[in-house]
Amino acid sequence: MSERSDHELLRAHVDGDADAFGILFARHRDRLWAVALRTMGNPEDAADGLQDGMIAAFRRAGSFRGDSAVTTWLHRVVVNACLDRIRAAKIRRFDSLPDDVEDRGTVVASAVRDDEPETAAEDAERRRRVLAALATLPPEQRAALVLVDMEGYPVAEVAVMLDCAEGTVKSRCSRGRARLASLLADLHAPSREPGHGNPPPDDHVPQGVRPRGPPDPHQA
Amino acid sequence: MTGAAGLPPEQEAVRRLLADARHDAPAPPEVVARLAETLDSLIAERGAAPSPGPRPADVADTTTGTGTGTATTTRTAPVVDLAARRRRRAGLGLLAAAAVVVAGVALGQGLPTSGDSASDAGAGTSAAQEAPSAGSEGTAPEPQDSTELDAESGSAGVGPELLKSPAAGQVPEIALDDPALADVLAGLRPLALPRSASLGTADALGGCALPDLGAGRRVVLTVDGQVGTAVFRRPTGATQRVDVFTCGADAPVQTVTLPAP
Repeated sequence: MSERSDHELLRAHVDGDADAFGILFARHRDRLWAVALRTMGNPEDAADGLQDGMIAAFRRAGSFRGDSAVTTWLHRVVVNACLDRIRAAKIRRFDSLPDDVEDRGTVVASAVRDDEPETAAEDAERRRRVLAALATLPPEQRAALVLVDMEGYPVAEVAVMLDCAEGTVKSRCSRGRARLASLLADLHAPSREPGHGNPPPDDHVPQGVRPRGPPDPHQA
Repeated sequence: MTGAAGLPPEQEAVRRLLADARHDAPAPPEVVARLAETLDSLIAERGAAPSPGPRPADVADTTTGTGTGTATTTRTAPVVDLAARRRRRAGLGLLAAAAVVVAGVALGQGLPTSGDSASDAGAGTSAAQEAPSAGSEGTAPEPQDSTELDAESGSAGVGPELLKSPAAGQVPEIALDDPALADVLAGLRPLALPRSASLGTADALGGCALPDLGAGRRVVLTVDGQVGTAVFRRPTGATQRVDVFTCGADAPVQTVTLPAP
């Protein structure tokens, strides 16, 4: 039996299929979580926002007109739920992500760099500063940048998600980027050199965690 | 000079920074579990609703191809006023469990009971000792639905024949594997009393010790045959968490998420 499409699952849910919505939401949950997390700025509020969005989507599924992708509609519901929470709580302060949650996002990125711990630390710090700066933006600008620049959705699709004109999305993104540019001016380096380059001849070459080169057959 | 996307260089740089900060990890297990629990509650709530009536005339039938050579005509279900259904259910639950609430008040006020057991007498005594605090909570009241029963007002108009200690079977019973558990707990919500009531004492709970239940209104009940209590936490947003405790357990044996009252 072929996998049901998003539209089919949503329709089945509206028609009373008890499992359909769960299947649909699980299919998109991780991306929705990412959007909620970056929009809210901390995992606790993100979990609340995502839950609110899921509840709203479950109950309002009958209102989906089918004139956009289901995933677009789900993003719209979740983002609106998050923005509602932000407006209600006037959350503007950024709470530092606890190390364990932040690491979930950087563990993969840093795992391939375990022989360059300084690079991994720099990356983590840069990410932390970007997220901290993002959290200072007005919620609408923040949501637009999360969807356009982080998640990579087309402006037209984000306009549907945010229920505004495409020009409004572009304007929010432009103002948001301008604000971030001033906050992150020191990070505006041209694209980084691939490595740190050759160290000065008289410097000790740092030893990585994994020895380079083929393994020595005479060692255990 | 603009970048490939036609943006000024500094904005293009910001775009790259944001793209690098994209969250790629899956949702944490605790978030997944919480969502699953909430979804179970929503499904249970919908399952308890009466069958939807005739479809509104303005909702069009849609015929969709399933890709298997057959066409399926589907209809959208009418919108159900879930809030009204919750209120009706709460009202029914309130009526069905009114004797339990009154009996609980009797425990708190030390009124004469018909029970002969020592535990009943002990419950009455210890509850009476705490009764003065029930009506004069110094702490800020925990926000709950305004339709919830107030302990004092609930006993005001009740005849003496109902002011009896709870006998076996009068305490609400729940089963942790009940698929309608969320509905049952939602029905008990109006009966939940503030922390200052006597329900947290070991005597009131038949001598069993419970851990610190934390903030929230609570109702004594039987959980799979064991004495326990359900604690209704402060609602957050559109939901309210309910923790179910039983004798001897250090932590909740079940946590259910209900729609906020």
